[in-house]
Amino acid sequence: MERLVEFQGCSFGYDGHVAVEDVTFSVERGGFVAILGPNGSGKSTLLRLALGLEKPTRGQVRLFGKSPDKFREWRRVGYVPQAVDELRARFPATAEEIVSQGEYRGFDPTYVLRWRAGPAVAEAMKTAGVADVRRKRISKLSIGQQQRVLIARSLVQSPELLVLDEPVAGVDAGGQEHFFELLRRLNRERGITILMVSHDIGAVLRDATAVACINRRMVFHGPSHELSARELSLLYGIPVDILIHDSMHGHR
Amino acid sequence: MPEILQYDFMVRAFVASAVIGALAPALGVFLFLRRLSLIADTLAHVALMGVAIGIATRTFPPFVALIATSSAAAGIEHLRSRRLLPGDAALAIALYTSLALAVVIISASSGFNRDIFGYLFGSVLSITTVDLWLMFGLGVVTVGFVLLLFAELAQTSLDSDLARTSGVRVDTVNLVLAVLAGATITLSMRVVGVLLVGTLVVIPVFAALRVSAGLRQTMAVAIGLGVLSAVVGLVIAFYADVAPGGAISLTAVVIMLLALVAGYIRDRLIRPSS
Repeated sequence: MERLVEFQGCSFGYDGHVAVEDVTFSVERGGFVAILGPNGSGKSTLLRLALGLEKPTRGQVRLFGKSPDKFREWRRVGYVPQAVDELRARFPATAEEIVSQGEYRGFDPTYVLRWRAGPAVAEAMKTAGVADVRRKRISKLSIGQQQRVLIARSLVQSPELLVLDEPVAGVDAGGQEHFFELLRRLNRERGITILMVSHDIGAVLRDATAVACINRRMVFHGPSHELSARELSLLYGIPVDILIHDSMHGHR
Repeated sequence: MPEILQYDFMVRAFVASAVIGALAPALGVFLFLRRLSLIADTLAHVALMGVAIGIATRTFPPFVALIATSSAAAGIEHLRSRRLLPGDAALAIALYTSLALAVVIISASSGFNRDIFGYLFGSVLSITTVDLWLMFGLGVVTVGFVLLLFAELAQTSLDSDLARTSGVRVDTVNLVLAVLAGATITLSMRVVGVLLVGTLVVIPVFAALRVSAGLRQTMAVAIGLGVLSAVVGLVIAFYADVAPGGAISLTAVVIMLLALVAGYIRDRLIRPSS
């Protein structure tokens, strides 16, 4: 199975602080991999390393088999960061303008003249469920809608890998369920590989095919159904019980 | 022909004001969205230091100021992007260092207080043909930069990490933006003066944000309001016999207040649900 992301003995630190230490795992094509861990455990740092936004101080990262700083085929990767501050403030772009940024394929002198978005933008907005707010200013949308706009932005170029950093932080329960349902569809129906940092243990156990539990070092890595209360207790440092109850997955 | 246009110096002043009125907000949109509005003030003080060095060494002051602002803009961007200093700390250090140097040079020299006065408060009525050619040159480069790299500027203004993972060369775009901002501010000094140079960079943009929907529309409206402020301010200065820099700045403020009221009326009375 092709590995889209690989961490090989990865460490990263700054100013004497170790954020990630000797982490090894990979994300295979078609997988839905979740990274779990307490605050400050290095989860987001791993994503930044995968995307080349930081360089490991030790070890190697591979993105589609290449070092991220040499990777150029960014249309194969969609990235959805934690809620973007600028979107909450007075950023003047409409939802459609943000999504159309996903069409970027490099220097294009005619971009400024394109006042109307292309069909791929409309399709991506429809898939993400934000077609009805396309003319609205992004800053006037709820955080959940803003995150769906960012998903749509990343879908425009039909990415093979979707990287999400705590995408539902600040989103209400209903919005979270819609969001995870969208991710499930993208993973199962379109075959998009997903690598996601999340705090939502329930959603991770229900939707992810594999889990990496990080607390600076790897605590657990394997199929999500093998993740037990013991590993979660070890990860968070408190007693944890697992109880999942839904119509799709039965009881656990 | 109206009386105001019968003087060559007024025609040059109108052209210069309109050019700067368009360029300052065109770059200002992207500076404002990156929360770098105060870079205008910092670079204006760096430009003042350059002018002081130019006058003291008998070198063409705008040229020295241009080199000073471009170098400072590149340095600030380097410190900010490499996280060697927080953005606001880099701006503050550059501002106070250059202002202190300017004060020392001015106090150590004598006989050019009148020249410095012109740069502090603007001297649009003494714009020369050389100044105009410099402004046109800068205008062509700036307009070309903004139009050709609009996609990259929009992406980096939203979120630099998102932009990087879309393949945008964020560091290059930020560096060119900073250097062009330095050049624009240097030439804006002749129109509104060091002390008010941030006006045309920030205020038309803030007004445009209140009444526009969409990034392209915001930039177009900000440029329009910038030109309007500059031209109307100059007309008021001519007939009221007041300093053009102050008149242009106050006109921009009045237009901003009108935009705020228009935005309020639109939101509350015309489209309360939007």
